[in-house]
Amino acid sequence: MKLIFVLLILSFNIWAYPQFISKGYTNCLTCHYNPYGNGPLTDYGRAVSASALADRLFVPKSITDDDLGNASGFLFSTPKNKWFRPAYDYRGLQLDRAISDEENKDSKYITMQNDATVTLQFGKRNNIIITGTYTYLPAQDEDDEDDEAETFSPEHYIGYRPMKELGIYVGKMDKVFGIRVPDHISYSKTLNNLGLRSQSHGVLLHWNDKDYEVGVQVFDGDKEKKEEEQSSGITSKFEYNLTKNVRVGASYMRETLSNEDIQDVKAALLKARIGEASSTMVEIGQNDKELNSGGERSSRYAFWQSHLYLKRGMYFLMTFEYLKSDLNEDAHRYRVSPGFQYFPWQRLEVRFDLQNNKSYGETLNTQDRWDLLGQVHLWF
Amino acid sequence: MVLRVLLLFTFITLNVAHAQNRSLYLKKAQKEFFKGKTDRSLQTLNKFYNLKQPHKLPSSVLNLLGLIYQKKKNFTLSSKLFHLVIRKSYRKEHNRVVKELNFDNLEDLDINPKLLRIYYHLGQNYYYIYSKTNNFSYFNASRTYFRICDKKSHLANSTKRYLNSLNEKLDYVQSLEKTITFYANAGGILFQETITLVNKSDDKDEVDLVSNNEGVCVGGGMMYGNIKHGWDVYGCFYSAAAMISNTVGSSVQYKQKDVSVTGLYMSPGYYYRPYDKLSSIGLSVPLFYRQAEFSDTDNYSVKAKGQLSAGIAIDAKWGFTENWSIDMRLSNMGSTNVFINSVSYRF
Repeated sequence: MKLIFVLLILSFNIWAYPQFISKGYTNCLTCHYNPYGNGPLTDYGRAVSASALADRLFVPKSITDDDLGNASGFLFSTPKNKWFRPAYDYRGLQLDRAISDEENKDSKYITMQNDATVTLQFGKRNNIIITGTYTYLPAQDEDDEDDEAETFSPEHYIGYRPMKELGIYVGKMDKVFGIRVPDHISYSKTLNNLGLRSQSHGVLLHWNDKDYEVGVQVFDGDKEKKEEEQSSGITSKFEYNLTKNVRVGASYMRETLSNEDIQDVKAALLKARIGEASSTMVEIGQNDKELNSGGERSSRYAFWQSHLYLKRGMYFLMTFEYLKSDLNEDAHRYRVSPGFQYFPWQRLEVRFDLQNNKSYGETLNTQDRWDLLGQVHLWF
Repeated sequence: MVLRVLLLFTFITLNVAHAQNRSLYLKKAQKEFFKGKTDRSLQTLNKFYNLKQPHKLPSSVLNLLGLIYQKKKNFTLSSKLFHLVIRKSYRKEHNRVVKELNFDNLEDLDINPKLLRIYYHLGQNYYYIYSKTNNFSYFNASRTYFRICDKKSHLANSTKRYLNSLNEKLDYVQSLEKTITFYANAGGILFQETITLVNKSDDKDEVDLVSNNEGVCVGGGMMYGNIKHGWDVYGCFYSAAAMISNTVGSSVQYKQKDVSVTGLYMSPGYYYRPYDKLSSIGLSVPLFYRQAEFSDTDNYSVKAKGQLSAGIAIDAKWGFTENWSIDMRLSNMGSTNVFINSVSYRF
């Protein structure tokens, strides 16, 4: 009962993806406190998601979109004060690997997010924010004795925007690099140490002008982790609106990893609205590593995800990924993933992806693997 | 004689009183209607007029009834009543309007504003009947009445809104007409298939290998359909390089790289455009033929260097202009998986 009460108290949260360039949103700051998305939504972001982006499944016609927008706040109401914004967010993944391979098929449920967040906002323009998120993740693998439940804070920082364009953020955040999609197992994330537990303490400077956006972040490791598990470096991202429907950009990151390898990552980015409500996003990058053990290794990757608008709140997705882990070897991988994403109403997202994994190479030439991924994302 | 005069006087007096009462009731009904009390207005009229015989009603009552039924969304009855008003009070003027309309010569014609108002209401009625029935004759009738109002600048803003809406509906109706579109297409192809080796000295000794292929494909297709859905027949010739690198059993190994593979991918399918006219999602039934130059080993030969597969595919197109689109097709044909990522140009 106490748990239910806590969950109800900690309401609304993360939603809004870079694909919403299809709705005219080129940057994340419009809807999120964090200028690079992820983390809790602003009041505007919540209202837009309720009144325009999510579907109205089973919502009677007598309830207007404006009513939904007004009820998008804490406990389905309008916020009672200006400064206190609690939030709760849950994301679970049902992963069925190798579904067509009787010998190797495997199935498991992974809790990806179980976040409680409190955000405080001050100042005339709400230009000072303090936010903190705490997560509890249960043990994910029953067969693995070393796998234990864990609690940690994926995000906590203080943000100050002395002027509309400029923001300074100090604390623990996701690293600012590439296109921030929620596909944490994409090659663009796993290759570049940008996965689920890759957040780091540091300082982010953010400049957001009408047509361009720049972010530079210096980070010094996740202080919640052991010293030997921390990584540090600098990362940056620049984006420019080529037209009102096309945004191009570049990212650069140099990071000393926990194993003392130094990675130097560059990426070119493109986001574009297609037609009236669909979109495409492309990230092409190269990761050059100076190995602690001596020598170098360069990798190249591509991430291309397109969203086709089916109806309000519903999208067909096609994701195409490429990874060449070592440019000196001929082994490389492709991943093709058609999928559906649906927001039946605000506070619920469901997504299904079918992944066709292809491995090419003289020693890697294996049977295609088909994986099925089902995700549920809840926020109250 | 006196009695006759008295009777006549009484008859005339009663009739005048009756006419005055009717006039009062009509005014009352009009007031009620304009206050939004539609049902009350109808009841008031019903008290003094026989509404079951509309052709016997005066034009002013018919006009009010027409408005009442329009408000009650009985557009068909409302239109009949307005036409009765025209027949009773504006027959000649209406005939003149129709004549001048046919010669597109309305500018020089003066039209009674009351008649214009009736045209406006008829335009509205037919607009809503068309919206409900999609019967094109109502579309034409509505557009004609609004055009007359537009020529005479009657309720100009509102008339223009209705005309614009009708034109949009016309565009939509025309877009529902099925047309044939051709397109050229070029892109990359990735596919995996199973290759079978057969022992030259023992036909029953077969070994399956995996062949991974990367290449380019060039082709095109034909789409037959409308803005919402239709049929798409796609075909492309491809040229690819295959790689086989499996270990076969404990003693036989078979490795080949950059083997030349050519073939044809054909897929008739159905597409659906859920929202805009540029992007679509669909299902197709592909046929996949490949011819490869795999080498035999001393002991094993490759079975079926030419191979035909069939299966099912999911197709999607993202049209970024009227002519150009990104096309993606992922198909599964048993042990053969094909992904084609290409760009199309529509003629």
